[in-house]
Amino acid sequence: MPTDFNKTQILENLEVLSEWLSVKYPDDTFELVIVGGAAMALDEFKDQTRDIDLLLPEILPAALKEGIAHVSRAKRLPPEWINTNAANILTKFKPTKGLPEYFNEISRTIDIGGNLKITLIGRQALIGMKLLASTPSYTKHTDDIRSLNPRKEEIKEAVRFVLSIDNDELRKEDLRIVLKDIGFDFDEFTGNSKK
Amino acid sequence: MNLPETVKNRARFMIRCAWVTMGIPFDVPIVNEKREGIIDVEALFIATFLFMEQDRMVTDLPAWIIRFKDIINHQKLKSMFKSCPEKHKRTIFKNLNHNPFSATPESFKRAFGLKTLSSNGIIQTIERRSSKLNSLDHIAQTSIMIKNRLLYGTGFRADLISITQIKNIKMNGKQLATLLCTADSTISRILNDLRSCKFLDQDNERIKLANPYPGMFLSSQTILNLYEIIDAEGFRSKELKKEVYENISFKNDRFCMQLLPSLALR
Repeated sequence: MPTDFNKTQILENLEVLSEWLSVKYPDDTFELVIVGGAAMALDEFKDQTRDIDLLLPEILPAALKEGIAHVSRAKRLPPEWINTNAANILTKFKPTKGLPEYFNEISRTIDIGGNLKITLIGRQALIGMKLLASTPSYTKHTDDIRSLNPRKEEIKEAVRFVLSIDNDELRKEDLRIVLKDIGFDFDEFTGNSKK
Repeated sequence: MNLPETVKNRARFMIRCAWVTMGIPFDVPIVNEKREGIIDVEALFIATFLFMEQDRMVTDLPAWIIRFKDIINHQKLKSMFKSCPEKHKRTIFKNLNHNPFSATPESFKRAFGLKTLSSNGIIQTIERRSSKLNSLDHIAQTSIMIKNRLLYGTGFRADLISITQIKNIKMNGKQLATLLCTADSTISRILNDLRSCKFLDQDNERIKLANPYPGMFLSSQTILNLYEIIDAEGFRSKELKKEVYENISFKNDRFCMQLLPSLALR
């Protein structure tokens, strides 16, 4: 069972999903908003990803759930090769003021087979989600942020977004370490002068 | 439907054989339930409607439905049609939209949402065909499900009793409810009754089972498998096609077990 897939493999697997959906549900069209490593791989910011994280739909409709399971078995992919874990995290920690406007921005859309529209989330939301997932002990997301080569303003907004969801002291400590690792100073963004 | 003609023809042939068991005098061999398994009447209807052509079936089947309307489980028929995927529902509805079916009883038409449009000519043709059907006495000898409906009344109790005549059925209440397309609670209630009167043991097996049946020839599982097989032929991806055939369950479905070799041979 392949554990990582590249841009070509992501698109191939989505084409198989589109084919399954077109045979089983010929009258329906589907849209997936992709975030995380798959969005980065499709935009060529990284080579491979482990799964396809969705921001939308938050809850997979039965047809998609069924299709994902069939493609998983047919292509020997992990059962959660497409998942809503990222959407679930946002649902769990939804900021009181709602998500920032830029979560509606998209990088681009890819039409697959006429019935499956893939939308890649915008850059600022992608950086924000990656920073939200980052921890000092697991460098995958930190490496991804580095690959995106973010500007200072983008990191500043990502920090604001993460803290709007979780401003716990432990989270701040984690952010401090993660940001230092990618060459930014957490305290500069928060106005603290902690030395 | 993307199935090759050879496969469709094989399916139509086996369906006609099953209808011979139910008393329609087609010129094909009978399905011997003792050897090949029990035929679920309503599942046979759905399988027929999926593959029906403009042949004698179009007049003989309405004749059967009119004559034996009291031994059709309309509730089961309705549930089976309701749970059918939309694209196959369209095929069934299109195939059923022949005039003779509009002469069938309201209870049958309601299950499929058919309209009444029958003319005198059609009714006369159906009446002529009706006289060719085997008698209920004869059908009760060849179809265990019909026999039990005559014994216990048309309903899920009779059908469940038919299923318990299968050797080593090894199915729980939920699985039996799925097989008979009814609610878990309906089957649970009947199972409790049948255990209370020592008709069944605690594992839902018949306590004194003489002359068991080998399994199901055609059941709701057959219908699910047929949907899968029809859809599989629409896939260009070999992997998707392979996945379908690897996951088909032949438990309670000898029909598809016999149909699949015709796909391999094409």
